[in-house]
Amino acid sequence: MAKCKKIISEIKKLDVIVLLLIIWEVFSRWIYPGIEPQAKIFLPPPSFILKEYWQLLSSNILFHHIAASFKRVLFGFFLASLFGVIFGFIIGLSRRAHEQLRIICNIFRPIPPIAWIPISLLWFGITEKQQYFIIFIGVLFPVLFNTSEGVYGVSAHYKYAAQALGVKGLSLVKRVVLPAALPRIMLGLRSGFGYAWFIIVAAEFVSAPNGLGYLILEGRNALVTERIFVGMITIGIINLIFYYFLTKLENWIAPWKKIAFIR
Amino acid sequence: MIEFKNVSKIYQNAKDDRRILALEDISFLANSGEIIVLIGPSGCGKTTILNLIAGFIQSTEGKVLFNSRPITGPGAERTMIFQEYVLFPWYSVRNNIEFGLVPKKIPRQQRRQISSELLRLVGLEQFADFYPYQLSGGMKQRVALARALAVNPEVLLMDEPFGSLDAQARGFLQQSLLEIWGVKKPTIVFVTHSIDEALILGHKILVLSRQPAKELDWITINKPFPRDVVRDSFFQDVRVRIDNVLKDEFQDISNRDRL
Repeated sequence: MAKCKKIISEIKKLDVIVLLLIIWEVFSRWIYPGIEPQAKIFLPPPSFILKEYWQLLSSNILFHHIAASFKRVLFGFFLASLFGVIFGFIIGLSRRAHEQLRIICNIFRPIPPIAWIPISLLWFGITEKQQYFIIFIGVLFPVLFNTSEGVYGVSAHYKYAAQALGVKGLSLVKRVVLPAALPRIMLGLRSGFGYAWFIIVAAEFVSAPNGLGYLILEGRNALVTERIFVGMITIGIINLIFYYFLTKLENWIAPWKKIAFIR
Repeated sequence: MIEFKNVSKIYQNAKDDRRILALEDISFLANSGEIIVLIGPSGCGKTTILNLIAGFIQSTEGKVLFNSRPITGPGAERTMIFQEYVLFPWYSVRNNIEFGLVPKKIPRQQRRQISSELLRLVGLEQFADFYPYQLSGGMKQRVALARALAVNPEVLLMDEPFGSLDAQARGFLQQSLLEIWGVKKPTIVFVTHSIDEALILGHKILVLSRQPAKELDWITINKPFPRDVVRDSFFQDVRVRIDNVLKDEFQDISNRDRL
C-alpha cells in the first residue's frame, strides 16, 4: 500500500510530461486524421511508437542496430581519444607547438565532421573504416584542442610551487601538470563523445548496412514513421545513460575538479 | 647566506616591446638564520626579489648569490610560500605536505612520520585526509607552511603569506612561524606591507621605494621574540621612522601626479 502511494507520488512529479503525452495521443489519434488523411504516417501517436519499440526490442532488431552504432562510436572514439590525448598533451607542453596547433584547430574545428563524408567515401569507399574515420575526425579535434589547451593553461604558480619543493621534469608533469589539466581533458572527451553520436547518425544515413541512423532511414523509406521515432529516442536515451556514467567517472577520478583553480 | 650585489631587473613586455624596470641597484646581505622583512608600497617589486632568490627568474644586472654561489634555478633548499597558498587541490592535506619528500626518495613510512609531525606542529592532525577546498584560508596557509618545512629548506621565501587572513589567524600564524624559526632557524625572507608585521618578525627590515624598487632604509632590530610592538617605545620609534620614509614616498607620487 505504502509502495503503491510512493509510485503514485513519483508519477505525479512527472505530471506535465504525462499531460503532454496524453495531448499528443488524443491529437494524433482523433483530431489530426480529421484534417489530414495520412495523419498516422506524419505523426503516429505515442502508443503506436511504444508498440513498435516493443516489437523491435523483443525481436532483437533494435539491439542489433544499437550494437552496430555503438561499435562504430566506441571504436572511433577510442582511437581519437588515445591519439588526441597523447598528442594534445605533448603539444601543450610546448608554447610554440601549442600556438601552431591553435591555428590548425581554429581552421578545422568549425568544419562540421559531416563535411568529411564525401572525401572519406573517396578514400575508404562504403566500408566500416569510412565510418570509423568520420567518428575519428569528429572526436579528434575537440579532444586534441582541449587537452593541449588544458596542459598549456596550467597555472605557472603550480609549477613554481612544485619546483621550489624540488619537483621537476617528468615528475612535475605527472604530479602537477596532468592533474591540473585533467578537468579540461575530461571536457574534451565529453564533448567528443557527444559529437560522435551526432556524427554516427549522419554517417549511417549515407553509407551503412545497419545502425540507428540506418534504422531511422529505413523507417522513412518504408513509411513506418514509428521506427523513425524509435531510432531517435534510442539515441537520446543512450546519450543520457552515457553522460550519467561519465559524470560518475569524472567525480571519481577528479573529486577536486568542482573547486576553482588558480589561473 | 643570501647576497644581492647591485641587482637590477627589467621585464620585457613580449607584445609591445615595453621595458619595465622593477628593481634598481638593490644590494643587501642576509646571514643564515636571519629573518629579513621587505616592506614597501604594493607592486613595487618585492615579489621580484623573492622570485630572484627562488630562481624562478634571473637578474638583468648584478649578482644574486646563495652561499656565495650564483642562483641558476629553483630548488628545494630555497622554498616559497605564496599569498594565495597554491596547495595542490588534487592532493589531500597529507599528500600536499609530503609532496616535496617524494623526489628525495624517502621511504613511505618515514614520509608518514615526517608529515604527522608537521601536522601536529601546525595543529592540523585531524585534517590529514581533507582536501584543500575543505579548509579555511588560515588552515590552507598552515598546510603550505608545513609543506615547505617538510623539505627542510635553508631559506623560506614568504610572499605576503598572511596578507589575506583575518587579524586573529594572522597573529596566530606569526607566532607559529616564530616558534618554528626558533627550532629550525631557517633564513626567512618575508614580504609584507604591514609595518606591525615587519616589527613583530624582522631582524632586519628593508624599506623599498615605489617602482622601480630602490633601497630607502635598512633597519636592524636586536630584540628577542616574542616582541611587544604595541607598548615598547623602541618599536614605536621604528614604526614612526618607517612610516615617515613610506609617507615621503607617497608624497613624491602625489607631487609627480600633480605635475
